[in-house]
Amino acid sequence: MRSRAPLALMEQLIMVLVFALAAAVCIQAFVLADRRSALSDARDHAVVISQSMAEIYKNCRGDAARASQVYGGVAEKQDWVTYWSARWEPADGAEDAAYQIRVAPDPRSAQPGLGRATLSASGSDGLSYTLDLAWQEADENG
Amino acid sequence: MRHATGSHRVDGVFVLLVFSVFAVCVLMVLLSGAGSYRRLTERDTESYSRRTAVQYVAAKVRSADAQDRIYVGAFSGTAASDGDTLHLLENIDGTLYDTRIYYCDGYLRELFAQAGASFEPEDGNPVLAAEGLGFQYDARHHLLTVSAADSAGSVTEMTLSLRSGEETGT
Repeated sequence: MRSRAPLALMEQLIMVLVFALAAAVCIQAFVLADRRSALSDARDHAVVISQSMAEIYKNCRGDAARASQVYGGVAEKQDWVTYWSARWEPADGAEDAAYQIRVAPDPRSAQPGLGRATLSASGSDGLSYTLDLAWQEADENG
Repeated sequence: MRHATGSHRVDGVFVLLVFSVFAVCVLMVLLSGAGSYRRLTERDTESYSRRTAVQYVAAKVRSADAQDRIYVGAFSGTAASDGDTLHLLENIDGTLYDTRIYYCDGYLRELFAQAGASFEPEDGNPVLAAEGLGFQYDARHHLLTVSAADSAGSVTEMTLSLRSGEETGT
């Protein structure tokens, strides 16, 4: 009578292989969830900072130089750019930054009395967030 | 006979090896899942406490933004450019009411009462758990900065531009 031991071993091996496959799928899902959560966290930070920058930019009536004096960052031609580290602390420049938030005047703002700009946040981790800004250009007397 | 015993021993070791691989796989998946879940919940909690306090204050300021209706100062009502209480004034049927937003005893609190009425900070309604709240007003640019500290100790700042362009009292 032949031993049934090899058959039992084969069964066990197949079982382990199937489980390893399921484990690989699970781990992949966990890693993906973790990455999405980190991206969502970065977007959350970006939204809070973007709101402040949008308020200041509108307050300064689209003057990038003035906005950079009030809040920080640099004025690049007509754009206002702020740089942030991976922990969302202000960074000195693009070289040290993991994220950047840029406010640029919108070329569509041809309508007199209406200011328009586009705020875009981007990061090395794939963060991409855009916010359209619009405000009424009031004169000094309101 | 001896040959059969040796074969059984090899079989036994192999089964043990396969079982060990299985156990390690289970442990890895469990640890990886638990780690991911922990990080997700931590980020969720941080995100909630980071945004809620400043967004709450921002919404209150937006709804009360009118000339001479918002000022920063002490709980008692003394105005200052840097204070721990935000005062939102409202005129109802000829009587001036003051909504005070401030931090006290682990909570962001709100107190709505007649302006100048004498109350203690503990009398306000707790709105949400926090570790601190501060306000700064830049009179030159009409910018109000709200700083909220969450339970993890990190401080979130949000700057608001007062549409009315004026605060009162400073």
